[in-house]
Amino acid sequence: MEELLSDFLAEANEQLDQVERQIVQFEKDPSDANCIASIFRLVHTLKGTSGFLDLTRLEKLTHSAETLLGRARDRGRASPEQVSLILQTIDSIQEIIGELADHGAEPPGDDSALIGELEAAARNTEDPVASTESSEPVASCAEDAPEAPPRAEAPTSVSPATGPAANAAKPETSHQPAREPGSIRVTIGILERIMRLVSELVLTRNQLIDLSSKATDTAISAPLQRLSAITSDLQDSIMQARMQPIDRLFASLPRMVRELTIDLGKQANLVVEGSDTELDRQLIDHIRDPLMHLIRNCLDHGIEPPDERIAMGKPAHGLVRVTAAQDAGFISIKIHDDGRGIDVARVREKAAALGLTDEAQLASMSNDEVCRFIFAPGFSTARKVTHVSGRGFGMDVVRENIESIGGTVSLTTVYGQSTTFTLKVPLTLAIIPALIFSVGSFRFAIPQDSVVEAVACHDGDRSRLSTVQGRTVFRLRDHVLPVADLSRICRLDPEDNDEDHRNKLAIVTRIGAVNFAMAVDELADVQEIVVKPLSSPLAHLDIFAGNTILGDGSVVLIINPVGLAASIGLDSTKQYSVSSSESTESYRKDATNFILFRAGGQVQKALPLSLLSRIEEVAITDIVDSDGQKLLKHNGMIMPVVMLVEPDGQRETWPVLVVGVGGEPMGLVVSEIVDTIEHSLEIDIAGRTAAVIGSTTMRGEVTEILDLTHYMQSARPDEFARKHAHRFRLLIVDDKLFFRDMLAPIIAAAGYEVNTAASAEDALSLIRKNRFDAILTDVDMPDVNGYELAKSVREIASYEKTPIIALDAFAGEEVVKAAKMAGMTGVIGKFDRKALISILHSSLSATAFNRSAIESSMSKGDAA
Amino acid sequence: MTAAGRQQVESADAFTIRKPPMRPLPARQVFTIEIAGNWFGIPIDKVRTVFRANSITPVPMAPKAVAGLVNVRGQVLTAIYLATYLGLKQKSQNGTFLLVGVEHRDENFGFIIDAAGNILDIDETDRVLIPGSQSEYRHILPLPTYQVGDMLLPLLDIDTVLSSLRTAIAAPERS
Repeated sequence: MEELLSDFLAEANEQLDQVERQIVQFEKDPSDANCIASIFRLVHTLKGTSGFLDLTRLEKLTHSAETLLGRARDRGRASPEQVSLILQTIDSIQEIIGELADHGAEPPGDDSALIGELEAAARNTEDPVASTESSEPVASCAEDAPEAPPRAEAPTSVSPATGPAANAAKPETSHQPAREPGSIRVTIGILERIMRLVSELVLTRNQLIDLSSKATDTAISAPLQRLSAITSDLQDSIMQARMQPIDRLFASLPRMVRELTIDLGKQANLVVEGSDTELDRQLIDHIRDPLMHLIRNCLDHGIEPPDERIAMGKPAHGLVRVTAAQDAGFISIKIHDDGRGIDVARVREKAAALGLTDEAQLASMSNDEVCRFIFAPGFSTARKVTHVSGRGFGMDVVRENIESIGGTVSLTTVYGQSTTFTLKVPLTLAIIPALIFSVGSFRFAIPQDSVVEAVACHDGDRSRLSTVQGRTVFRLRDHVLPVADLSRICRLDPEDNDEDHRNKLAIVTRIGAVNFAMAVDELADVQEIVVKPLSSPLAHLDIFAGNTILGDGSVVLIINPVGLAASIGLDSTKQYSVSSSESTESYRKDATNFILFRAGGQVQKALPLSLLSRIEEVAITDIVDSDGQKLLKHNGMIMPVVMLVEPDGQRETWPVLVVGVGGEPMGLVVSEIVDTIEHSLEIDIAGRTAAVIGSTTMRGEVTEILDLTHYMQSARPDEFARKHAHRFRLLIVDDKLFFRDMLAPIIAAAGYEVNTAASAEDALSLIRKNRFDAILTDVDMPDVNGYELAKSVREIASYEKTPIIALDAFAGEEVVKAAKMAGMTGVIGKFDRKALISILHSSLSATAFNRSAIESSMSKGDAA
Repeated sequence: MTAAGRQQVESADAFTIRKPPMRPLPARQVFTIEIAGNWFGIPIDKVRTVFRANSITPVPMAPKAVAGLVNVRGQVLTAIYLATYLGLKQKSQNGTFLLVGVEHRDENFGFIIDAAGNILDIDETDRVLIPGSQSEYRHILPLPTYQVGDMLLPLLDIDTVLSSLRTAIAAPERS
């Protein structure tokens, strides 16, 4: 009897999951006769087994549910009330089954009220008129839905409750997880025990291999090899046995979406794809909460109410698409909604208010980067906390949960259009391949998934490690990576810096889209390791993910790359984007000409060449102190100079970079001109001082890109407002002084009159007072962004056709789309001087000669 | 690979404490341990093994009283310097450590001790009250003390020891 009961319980839970899903499906698509028949069968089986096992409460409940389902089957439809009632019954049944599992007997209780309702509902269906009256449209089936209801043989053409179905969701119902013949049911406990034993076996095998490598006797090597192969096979098989289709997790989604949409007064179709993707059952439990939260979030904050959607020209039904797929040792789960997207401006506001970063840094961050702040603790952009998603389980917890299993979460969003969250989780947690390395007397393991490559720290005589602005960085090809100094974390004696042994290698590690390097002494091995958690007094150490026993019996700590990155200040809210790497790619194509020079210190410096008017070689005696500043007398004129280097007596002449801003020159005294090169303006490490925008690698050397505005402000504080008289008048809107000052001279030099504004507000007041022939605006500004500015400008009379060009550091596809939506004429990369001038030239000539040509020339400009 | 990097663990002379048969307890049973010349009792029901380890894998940034991790027959124990917890100065261990393995809330710990004693019965009536509330050890409350034969034996509560580690998680200063 015991065994029968436990079989029944396991089966019943499975069947109830199916019933739950199928009844929601049937509600949407009553034409699916198979669906209702299958529900009926499942409940009928439950009833039969309950009767056999003398479970009277269950038997009565299932009997009443069966009656109602029978009627629904005969009529080919079910009203929302009936569906809700069935779902309610399923809850009661599940409750009883839960008790049954715990105590072996049905709990006492009275179901007569529910049974009464079920019976009443069943009677109601006998009377078509009554049924019609009680039927109201379901949240997911609106009258205004575009397609006609694919209704089948419903005898009476009545309620709109039999509305259109999410056709895409259909394959889901056709998925019948019926048990295949030849399968048996094994309790999880046994599987777990086998898994543990296999883990120990793997360790023992590793130990044996280690011993045999030292032994001189070769006789054991052949059987050991066999043992090794068999162990690996066994490990794979048991892993396979633990794998479960993610459908187990997805099965509960339709009901959840149904109930939430009703609760929230919204309409949404759920599409589930890839539900047969398999992953470790342990992981399924770990991703359940994050997944549920993200879907709740989609429905609550993403999908708009129907009237709002219609007003925006979207279908009244929102779409929530959940896709699972296996992707090179990882499972990726995408949760996509076509709702309102994330308002980046508000995220910015909030990030600043919460003090997550300083204003300057925030201002320089792209929208995608800013979006990642929503994973920061205590961050919720919803102005109104709703009971659905505002329940303290925030995005930070989603991130934490996913990270705790070695996964990542990222998002992409288009404001007003869609949001896609991507979860990436490993296939299994139990045994992972790891790289073993040593630092001083310590050995560590790091999951191999996160290792990109290991590179020697020395390239011939040249060290790839260098110190810039007080941080150790590693130069790798075109990149400058921050370095996690494990020897400091391990408190190794810094004096003991025996160059021969220390920091010989750098392990380049990737978390999300961010790379960093760990300086290590030696690589020891690659091993399959069994991850064991750290005990509670050590659990707070985020830089470690756990420990493991190696083949030689020693215990080593497993590095947690995410925690280690956080310990060196890689902002964890910035790490989780798949999109950032893509946008970097598109951005990289835009090359800028730089002048490379040296001026004191080790590090090479650079300025965009476009900012310079010429380079002079001047005698040091021509520079004089006057009125608190340095002035250079040269060729009969004087200009203020900034000494980037303190000239010593060694040389008589020094190079001076002459910068012409607004026609008034200033000079920068440097020690040596290196070269000019074409390079992407890609800042790997943001600057810490006002004079430095950031650092990157040029010509294989760490290079600081200087902020010219910093020097200009000290040398020529009054030159920013200069006016030029030219034919076309342009307005540049950018909250960053650097870009205004960088762009203004470029455009002025091309023959245009230029005005600048530091915010959308300033811009609008200027636009109302003056007539501009074109507006260039940064898209990414605090308060009011460029898109909103463009919309406001379009509303001003006489500005309907004025070219409005979006400026963005990354002129990515999403920016182009959003700009088009906002009525902007085109998008251009901020550093693409040539394209900027040519787009201005072509669009303004078009303004003069043929307005209709604007659009076409602009779209050509996009490609530039 | 530096020689010190090998964290060999030897568990050959580990032995398991045989638990006495359960009987209606007139007294509690404690296992006695010596740390820096002081004897303490720990509840026998928590004790699993006494073993020697040749080396312990240190854990960077761990609380001061955590010595590191030890492998005992395929299980990883967190080794604790009880002396550090008690504010005592432990004898030098000559590179090999004597530990008493305890299980606490499904986790395994090893307390580093100088010597293992034996199993003693203690009775609540043997409890001696020492006037005054000052502990001889810096930061912990006075331990309940029992008269066993002619010895006064303070009783360590494992829960208190371990939870103090969890709360005092400041990283140790560089020394």
